[in-house]
Amino acid sequence: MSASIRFVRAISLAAVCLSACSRSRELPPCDASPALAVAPKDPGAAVIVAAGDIAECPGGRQEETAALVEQIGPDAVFTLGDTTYPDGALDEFLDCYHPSWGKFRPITRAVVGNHEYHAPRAGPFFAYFCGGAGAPFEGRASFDIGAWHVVMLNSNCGGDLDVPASVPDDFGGCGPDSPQARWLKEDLAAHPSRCTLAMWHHPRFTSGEHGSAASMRDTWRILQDAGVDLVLAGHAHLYERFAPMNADGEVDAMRGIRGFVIGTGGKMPLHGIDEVHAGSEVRNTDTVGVLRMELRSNGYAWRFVPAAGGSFTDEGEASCHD
Amino acid sequence: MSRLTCAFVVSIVTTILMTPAARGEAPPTPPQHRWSVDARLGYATAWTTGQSFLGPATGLVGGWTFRVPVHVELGAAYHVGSIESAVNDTLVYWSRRQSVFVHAAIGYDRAMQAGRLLVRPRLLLGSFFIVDEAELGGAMREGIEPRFAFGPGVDILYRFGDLHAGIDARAFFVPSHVAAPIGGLFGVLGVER
Repeated sequence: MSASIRFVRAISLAAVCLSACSRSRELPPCDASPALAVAPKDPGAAVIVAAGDIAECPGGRQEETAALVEQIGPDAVFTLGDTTYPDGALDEFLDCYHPSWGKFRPITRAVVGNHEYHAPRAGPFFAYFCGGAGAPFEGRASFDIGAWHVVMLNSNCGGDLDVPASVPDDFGGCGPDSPQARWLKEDLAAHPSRCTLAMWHHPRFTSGEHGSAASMRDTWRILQDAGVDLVLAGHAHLYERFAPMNADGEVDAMRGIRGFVIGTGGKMPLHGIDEVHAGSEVRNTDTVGVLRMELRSNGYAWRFVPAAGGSFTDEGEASCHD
Repeated sequence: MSRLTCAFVVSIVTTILMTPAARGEAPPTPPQHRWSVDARLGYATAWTTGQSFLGPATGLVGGWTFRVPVHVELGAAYHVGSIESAVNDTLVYWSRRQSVFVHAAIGYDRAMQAGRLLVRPRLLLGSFFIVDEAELGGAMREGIEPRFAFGPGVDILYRFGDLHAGIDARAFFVPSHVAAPIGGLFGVLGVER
């Protein structure tokens, strides 16, 4: 066989390989009017369900937690990142997350986790949730639900957060002068609600083995200065509730923000406790479940709802900052 | 011309230019120092469900074998990676991931069959430079991510005068939380003096 024929065959093989490396999937339809705002059935007591770290096939317990959400029948679902494992891939969203939590997709408001960034620029996450995750690749947005203002932020700031180094370039990082910080200050100034909730993936404070996200300290300070009441996060696969905390990690009943970590959405196994963090009031490391939260006109009430077989729960209520 | 084709043509042309007019010569006697240039074409994959940055690949390796005979080499390979897309009535999503692997390696040359067959176990150290791009709803992002890798490999080469051909099998461990083990198999065509 002449060298030229062999060369042509090699090129043909390469062309075949190239075509085999390209694939396309069909996305479920997006809402015709993808506004982020949620109109609750009772504006004085909007019910939301929150959880992060949700779906993995096989091995995850997302079907069980999806059944809890269905049973609660919330006005909105807040997913707190690491929506699918292990790679936030298109197939994982369509073949694993969608058959369970996908039925709540039109009322889901989703923040982006670190596992979503195993896929290029977390693209499948932003594509799957249509407008429910905010502007593509930014991972920040805000909206109102009843009397509350809700802020969604991107906490994938590098450092020790299991985030590829180039990811913060996508949205400008989490520093005090970052685009996200500037946007946050403007957004909070423009929405002076009495009650405000913020959510992102990496918890500023946790006793879990992944540790607390020091890179969110500046963000916490901005929220604290604006009188924000609640922060929801995932990442640590456990449930934890904190007393109102200031940005430096001290309990501050007057100006502090209460934090919840709800990394119990279905991903197994759950995480252990490294060392109990100051301000941690309740922790559980062996129960999968979701947080039901009622957002009232002047306060909020919470209840951790365990999946079948779990007996742990945690409930309470509090007022928003004056 | 695709990037894979272009890279493959460059590696083949480089090898041919380095080839002396000595085809058909008898197998070489045990050498003193030797240098080699190889073109490679093959496939690599990772143990992951994520979008591939590997797949079909082509590359070029330059090596030097001492009298001992310890072999050292430097090389680079371009991996085509993959393209994914998804659509519905209102959204179009598209992403591409590809990579370049740059490596150094050290190995040991074991000649058999009167020097015609060469088996070269080696240790490779290098880095993948993963380029990814994604486009959604008119917005686009791209980035480059280095990913250190190391692992064993083996060249099994058959000599035809100054030319040689064979296979290069590699396995890599990737000490990163966002990565998975990698395996690759390449065809080799090269020249050695």
